[in-house]
Amino acid sequence: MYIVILGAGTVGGAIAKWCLSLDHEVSVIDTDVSRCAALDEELGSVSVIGDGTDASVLIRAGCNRSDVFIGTSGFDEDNLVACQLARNEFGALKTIALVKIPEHEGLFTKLGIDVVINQTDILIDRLKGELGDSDERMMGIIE
Amino acid sequence: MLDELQWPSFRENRVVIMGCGQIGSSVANTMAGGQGSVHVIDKDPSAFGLLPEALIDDGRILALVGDGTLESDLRRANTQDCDIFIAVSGKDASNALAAQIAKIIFQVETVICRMNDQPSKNMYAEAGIVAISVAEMATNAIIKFSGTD
Repeated sequence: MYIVILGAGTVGGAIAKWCLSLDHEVSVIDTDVSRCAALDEELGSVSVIGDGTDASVLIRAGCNRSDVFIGTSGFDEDNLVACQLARNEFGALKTIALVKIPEHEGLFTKLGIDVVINQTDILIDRLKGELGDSDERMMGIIE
Repeated sequence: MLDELQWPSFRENRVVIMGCGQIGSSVANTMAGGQGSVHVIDKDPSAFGLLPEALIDDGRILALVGDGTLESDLRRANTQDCDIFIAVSGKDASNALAAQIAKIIFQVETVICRMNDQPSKNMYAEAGIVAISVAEMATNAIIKFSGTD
């Protein structure tokens, strides 16, 4: 498969590495030149420098032949717009967006994103698992 | 000169403007002359310094600190009851998100959004959002004036 990823940060980079290990073809878009350079050094030339909410940058990243587009930037709105362009203008078959703001999970689904991953709630659920959601359990752990 | 634009004072539209920069504050100032209401929402309270104080004091402009990409904050600005929603923050992706909340969730009749990218403009036009490019409008004006006199 051909997978285009928005965001060459820790998350985007790790996803790119994983996809490559599964023999998928990967492109990673980021505005930050040094992040792109670091990723290219580690994974070979996978990066495209530019703003992924700009259609011309998505074209440079080969979005018009992409199967999957994954928005992993730190800005929910950038992930949304890039995913919408990838799907509606360039025919990506599946779009996946990471969101930090919990209320964006349901919203982005309504706006046509196939999979919305709510990082904040995942974190909270994990914390609930560790600490429990009652005061008593929390105190028990601290004591 | 460009044609003098005037917002008719008899207009009774309820307007919500997201982003209180040069454009947002200017539009708010102009539309506050009508009979309706004008809400302006911006993350940064210091942005409201661009609004005429008198219009805030007499309640013609209601300034609200909040994030226009959040449905909950837009609700606080009465977006669910407005007739015209205008997204003119400095970030196109934020404008696109706010405009879609207004159009698709709140079903606002007229939604106008500032955006430069042409394919994005076409895409959101299909959803009933009017996207305008400031760069394109400025260029057109410059070309127009360059060609005459």
